[in-house]
Parts: sequence; structure tokens; C-alpha cells
Amino acid sequence: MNRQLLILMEKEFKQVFRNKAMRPMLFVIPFLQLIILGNAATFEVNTIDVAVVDYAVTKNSRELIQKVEALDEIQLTHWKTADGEPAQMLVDNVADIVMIIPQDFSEDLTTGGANVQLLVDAVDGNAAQIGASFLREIITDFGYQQVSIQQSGGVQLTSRYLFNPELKYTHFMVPGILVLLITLIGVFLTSMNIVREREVGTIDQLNVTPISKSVFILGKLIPFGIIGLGELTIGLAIAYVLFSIPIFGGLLIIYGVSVIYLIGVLALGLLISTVSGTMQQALFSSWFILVIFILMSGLFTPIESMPSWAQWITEFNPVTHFIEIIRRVILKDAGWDSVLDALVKLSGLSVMSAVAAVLSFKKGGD
Amino acid sequence: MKALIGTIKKEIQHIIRDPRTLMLLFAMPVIQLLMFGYAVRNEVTEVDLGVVDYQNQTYVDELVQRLEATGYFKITRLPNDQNEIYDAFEKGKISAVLVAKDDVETELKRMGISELQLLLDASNPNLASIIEQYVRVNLNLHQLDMNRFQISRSPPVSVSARYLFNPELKSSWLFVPGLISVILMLVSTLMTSITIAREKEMGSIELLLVSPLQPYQIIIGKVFPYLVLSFVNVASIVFLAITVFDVPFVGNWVAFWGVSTLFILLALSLGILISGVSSSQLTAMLLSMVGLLLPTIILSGFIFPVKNLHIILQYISAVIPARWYLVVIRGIMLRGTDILILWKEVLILFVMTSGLLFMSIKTFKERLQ
Repeated sequence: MNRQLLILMEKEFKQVFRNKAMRPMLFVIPFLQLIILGNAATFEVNTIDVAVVDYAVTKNSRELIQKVEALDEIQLTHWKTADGEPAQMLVDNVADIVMIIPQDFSEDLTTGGANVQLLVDAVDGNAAQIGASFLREIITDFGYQQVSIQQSGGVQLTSRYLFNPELKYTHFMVPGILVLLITLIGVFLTSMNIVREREVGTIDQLNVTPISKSVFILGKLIPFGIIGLGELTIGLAIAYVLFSIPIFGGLLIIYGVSVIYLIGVLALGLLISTVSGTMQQALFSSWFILVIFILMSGLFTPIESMPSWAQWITEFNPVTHFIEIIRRVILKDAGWDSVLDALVKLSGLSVMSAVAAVLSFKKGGD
Repeated sequence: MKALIGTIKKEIQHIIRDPRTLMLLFAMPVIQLLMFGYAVRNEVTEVDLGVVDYQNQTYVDELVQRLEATGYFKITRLPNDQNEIYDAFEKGKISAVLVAKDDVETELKRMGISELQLLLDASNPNLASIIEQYVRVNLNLHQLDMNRFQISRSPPVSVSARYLFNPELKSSWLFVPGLISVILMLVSTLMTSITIAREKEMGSIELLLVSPLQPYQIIIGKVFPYLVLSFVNVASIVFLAITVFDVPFVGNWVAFWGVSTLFILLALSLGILISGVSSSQLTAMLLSMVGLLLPTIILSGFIFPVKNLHIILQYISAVIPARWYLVVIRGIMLRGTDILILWKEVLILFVMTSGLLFMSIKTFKERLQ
């Protein structure tokens, strides 16, 4: 029994590693992606392209433009005193906001009725609101200064970022992307596995051996589980060395939870593999599920923004729970008891997919 | 020509006799667009915002009312108890807490300045920064109103803002064109990435190689049926975008279809190239899936705006074809941008497509010799 399992495992390892093209794809490409993409995901708005249409061309209007230009987040792309349709600059995508200073700006300023118009490209609603808000603040300030009214400084908002005081996006994104990469590779390898044996014909050789169904499934799960844990280890090392993410506090939890997680996703892969007729079908099915896992994991867009039916679906997404646990462990320093709720859900999902994989697999075929 | 039609016919038969894959190919993009069109958003709704204001000050009250009126926040009053607040954060019951000192109002009256503190659960930095920006925007608006009231005159310079192209600030309008480009890129590449690798594995490639067919004929024969499939996919997802998500289509349809054809050809030839350089189906699939999926989602500008990225990452993202296509279709669909204005993006797509086509034919030829 044990010997059978070992031999099967050896076979799977050999099959993966004897393929020269596989090695870089399993151990180089994912980590390159981790390093590059870990830095990439942020909603911070730090570049707003503003075009100015100055119909006034006075000392005041120039001062206003200088004030706008001084803001770090704002890049003045165009500075026109000429005619033409200002909104066209938004249509042509040369600016996010067009600021229009009317012709009688300076006269109106002394009587107190000056108006600056902002045309805002609202395709990205968040960025639009933030950009408009920046400009509104500057312009209003400018107005008060001009008539030398000591404007009340008003209420300042100071933010404190709990659990992540420096608001490091990488602390959140790098572990998340690592999870996604492990999932991608794990589901891919397993979902291709049995269907490939069927396509190549080697499944018949296995069918005539005395190997039992459970040994067969274990013989498939364990090698890929080990590969997954290996990738996790390399990824965590990169997270620690390159991104200085504090992983040591919860290393035991991370590995414990990873084992449970891997059982679930690898079993899901095997399930896809057994119900697929060809490798093509398996590929498209696993791709379909993986994209849903990724985009509905809460990693890129908050789960809080989703409608309630979608939030309900995320409960069945193992990636969501795994990311949640990793996030709590790494950023909130959580112990076993604080991750229990997510862990229970994750284990439930793993058991479900393991059972489904075993039930769907019929040795000897039918 | 006859030979070409023959290869196309053969390829179509390959596709048709696997109805399950065909179903998947048509259904997947539709289901994904429907799901993600609703689920992938970056606007926050019903954020649990705690408020600590021991003195129930009017200024804070009015600000909170304004926040509540936006519909983005669910307000809970919290007692001024550090431990309880921290506990609520730990358990994930609240995402942010607005803390007002007891003397915000008196300070404002006496000195004209004061301070509010916003505590944010930054373990999800994306959510935290969205919430912070919302609160900040609303505080600014509130401040303007208060000044108007205090100084009892309107500010010398008023600002009127008009939101164009997406006046209701719906994030689905932003993301649906993005979904079109991501789905199209990935599905089209996946489709062709296995065809040649599959023939290699099955051995049937030898039959093609000894036939009098030219390499380009074989490639066209492989690409053409999938091009048609991809057209159907574009048509169905654009139809859904317009009917289900009310995404406007203000631009030129001809330009849209032209650029989409270019983009599909690009993705299909990338698939052929992957297929040509891979020794087996397995490696071809792994390359097109693991290699493409995350970079396309993250670096295309679909969710995270490219121009907010670090400059090095912006350069890296230039190799992601979906990034350029996305700029074009957002322009055409939402802004009605003239295609001539977008010549740079179209040119880049064109160069990428020709390069990939050339390389895929070349790798195939090398195999011949």
C-alpha cells in the first residue's frame, strides 16, 4: 500500500520534471510575476492630467494656474489661451480634467462672483471625484486669498492606518498574488493530469494495476501538494527578502492553512480532470473557474463593493478565505483563534471538493 | 486557394466535433461578463463607518449626515472606548472610524481650525484608500458649505464641475470595456495556443508537413475559424454591455470592429506562436494560462489605472497588448474619441500583430526544414 503510493508519487514527479519546458514555468515565471505584479496594484490617485483653458489671461488667472500646478498630484498637460471646444480635450483623452477660466475672471473676482468651470472625465468615477475635489479646494482657497479674507482653516482630516501604518500595498498584494499563482499552477497541473493520461492512453495501464482508488487519488494529490508548498516557500522567501513582509510570526499557521487549502484546490483540479473529455475542455473549464476565483477574491476590488449575491458567491471561493487568513496573520498578527471562522469555511470547501473528486473518479472507466 | 479552404474546413470540423468545448467557448465570456460586470467595482457601498463623537457636536453631526446621504456609508455610533473600537476592527465589524475630539466646535469658533481623525483598517489598503478619499471629498464639500455660512457670503471664486461621459460615476462603465479586452485576449490566445501543439502531440502534424500546403496557409487555416468564433464573442459581450449594463456606445462602430479584429488577430497569433514553440499541449497551455492571466488582469489598466503605476511598471505594461486595446475601446465606446486621435495605440497593436504573425510563421517554417 505504502509502496504503491510511493511509486505513484515518484511517477508524477518524474512526469513533471522531465519536461524541460516545465521547470522554468513552474519555478521562474511565477516568481517573476510575483516580483513585478506585487508592486502594481494600487488605487492611489497620484497623476491627474489637467488642461487649462484660460480665456482671461490676467495676472490673477496666471496665479491661479501656478497654484494648481504646484500640487504634486497634478500635471498640467495643456495650457491654452486659445479657442476650440474645451470638452474635445477630454474626448481626445489628452486630459482628465479641463479647467476653464472665463474671460471676465478678474473683474468678477473683485465683485465676488467669479466662477471656474471644471469639465471632468468621469469614466473612472473615483479618480474623477478625487481630481475635482483637489481642484475645488485650491480654487476656493485662491479666491479667499485674493479678497484677503482670512478663511477659517477649517477641519483637517488626519488618517491613521491601523494594522498597516505606512499603508504598504505590497503587504496586502504580494501574499495575495502568491496565493493566486499557487492556485493557478495547482489547479492547472491537476486538472490536466487525469485527462492527459486518458488522452495519451496511459490511464488503461493504471486501471489494470491493483492500485486502489484512494491510493490513486493520493498519489496524484501529494506530489502536486508538495510542489505547491515548495512554491509557497520560495514565494514567502521573496516576500520576506524583497518586500520585507513580516512572515515569521505566523509561519506555522500559514503552512497549516496552506495544506488545507491545497487539498481543496488540487482536488478541484482532479474533479475537473475526471469530468473532462479532452485536455481542451479541462483547460477551458479550469480557466473559467480560475478567473472567477481571481476576480471575485476581494484582492483587486473590495468584496464590500459587490452586490449581495456576489458576496454570497465569494463565500464559496477558497481564494477569498485563504487571502483573508493570510492577511489577518501577516497584518493583524492573528493567532489560530482569530482565523478560526475563515479556517472552518475553508476546510468545509476543501472537504467538499475532495469528496466530489473521489466520487467522480471511477477507476476502470465506464 | 482550394487547399486553404480545405484546411479551414478541417479546422472547423475539429472544433465542431467537440460540442462541449464549443459551448464553453461561447458561454464562458457571456457568463463572466454578466458576473464581473456586477461584481467587479471599486465604488464602495455600505461601508461600515463608526463615529465617535462624545459631545454630539453639530458640525460632526452634519458631516455624518452628509456622509450617510451619499449612500456609501452605514453609520454606527461607537462609545469612546479604545478597546471596543479596536475589537470592532479586529473582528472586521467596521472598516473605518471617524473620531471627533470633544472640542471640535469650540476650536472652530475660537481659532477657525480643528481636526478630525479617521481610523482605517489598512489591512486592505485598497479599500482603506477608497474610503479615505470618499471621506476627504465629502469633508471638503462640507467645509465649503460651512464657510459660505460662516462668512455669510459666497466664496469669491466658485467652482462648478461637470462630469462628462459617465455622469452617474458608475464603475461598471469603467470596467465593462476592460472586461471585454481581458476576456477577449485570454480566450482567443487560449483557443489557438493548443492547436499546433495538439497536432504535434497526436502526430498529425507530420501529415500537414508533408502536404503541399505553405506554412502561411496552415496558419491561416488555423486562425480563420477562431477569428469567426471571436467575432461572435465580441458581438455577444458588447450586446450585453449595452443592454444589461447600459454602457453607452457613442463612438464609431466601424472603428470599433476594425480595432477589435486587429486585437483578435493579435491574440490568435500569440496563441499560434506559443503553440509553435511548445513541445506539448501541456506546456503550451501552461504558458498561455499562467504566463498571461495575471499580467493581463493587473497591468492592462483594467482595474488599476496604468498612469498611477511606478514608471518602470508603466514600461513593463507596454508589452501587454490588452493595455492598448483597452485605451482604444474605452475611448470609442464611452468618449466617442475619433480613431485618428488614437493612432498611436492602433499602430502599436498593428506592429505587435504583424510581429507575432511573422514570428509564428517563421517558427513553423523552421520546423519544416
